[in-house]
Amino acid sequence: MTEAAKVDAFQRALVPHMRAAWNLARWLVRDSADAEDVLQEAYVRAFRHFDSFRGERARGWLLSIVRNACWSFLSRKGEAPELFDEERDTAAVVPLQLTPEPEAQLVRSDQARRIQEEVEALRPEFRETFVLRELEGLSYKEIAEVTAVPVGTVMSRLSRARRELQARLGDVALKASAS
Amino acid sequence: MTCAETMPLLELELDGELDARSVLEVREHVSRCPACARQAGSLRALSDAARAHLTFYEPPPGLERRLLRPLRPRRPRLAWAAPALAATVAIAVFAAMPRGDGLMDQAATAHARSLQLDHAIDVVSTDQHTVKPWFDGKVGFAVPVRDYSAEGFTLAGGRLDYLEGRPAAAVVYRRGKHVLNLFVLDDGRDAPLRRKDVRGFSCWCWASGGLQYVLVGDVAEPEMAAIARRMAESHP
Repeated sequence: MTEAAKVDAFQRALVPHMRAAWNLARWLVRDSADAEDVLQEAYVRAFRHFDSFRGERARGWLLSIVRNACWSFLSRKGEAPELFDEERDTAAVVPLQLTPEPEAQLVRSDQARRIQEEVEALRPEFRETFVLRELEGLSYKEIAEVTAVPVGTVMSRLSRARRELQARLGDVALKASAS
Repeated sequence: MTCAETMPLLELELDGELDARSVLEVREHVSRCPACARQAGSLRALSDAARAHLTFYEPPPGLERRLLRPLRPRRPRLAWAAPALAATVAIAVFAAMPRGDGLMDQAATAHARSLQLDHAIDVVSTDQHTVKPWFDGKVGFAVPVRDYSAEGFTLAGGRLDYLEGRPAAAVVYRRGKHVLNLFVLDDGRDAPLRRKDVRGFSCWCWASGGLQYVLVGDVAEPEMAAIARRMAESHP
């Protein structure tokens, strides 16, 4: 395959999943400019390994590369703790980040904004698992493949993310925002 | 089933990861246990709120071009040569594939295009009685449009598309933030439901009543299989 043909094949295989890749990167690094840098790095890496790609499960393959690039970025920024610290991680209360609201957000209900903020405030591994499940609709097995952990870990992370969100949002807020 | 046995299974049931028999057992327990019912309701509300309100971030304009630019070889090439060659290859591959395969490939591409260009819908409506007549005169056949909101797939509208060089009706459904396209074409022979994975999209193809259907989406596979079967049954 010539280099140009390889780029075309790469484009055909992966461009349909750019939307999912962008959404995941944007949720993980929480900034558009950083997300673009990370995605660029991921695409270069994916292209380099494209010869070993067999055409199956393109979305999962790309998402796992994007996800790894995000985690490299987060650990460079010191936002990805290497080890789980029971005391620190269960005691820490993440303060709400009140950011100026773009116009589109003003019309959304207060509850809708709160769930967005609370998911953004989750620790990266919980946020990643929750977003892959609820926004990308991935199964436990698919999330396990993308995040390179056992299915049991996916289940406990998802469960932990949900418990935290339930505790912070409360049933009333959830019921109101879902209706 | 006891509460201790049920509680850990509530999330699996919510996520569609539980076998049919356990689902029945969990539901039976939940129906007569207020504590488990409350937790199940709270989990469901959280999931519904997340799907309804979390932002699905859309790529900024020009992102694809910027991502691919560093990968392209710097040497200039004849602009017309590559598309012509690609077209030849496409025709050759297309001719060699079994009936339906090429159609599913094209449908997956049309589906991806509809997501990217922010041009998924020409007529926006959740009402099947609005979407159905919109296709009149645009495709040469009556398009059956049905609503599946009871199954969690809401009708979002319709779009005129082209597959295999013919006009095709694209009926658009939403499942949370996911978009599904049901392509409908005029075609003769009946064919049973079958599935193909095209670049990560799940494509389901069948033909009945003189019409050919291709459903394309990327929701989780069990949900995708269930709605494809449901649609194939309800489009006789």
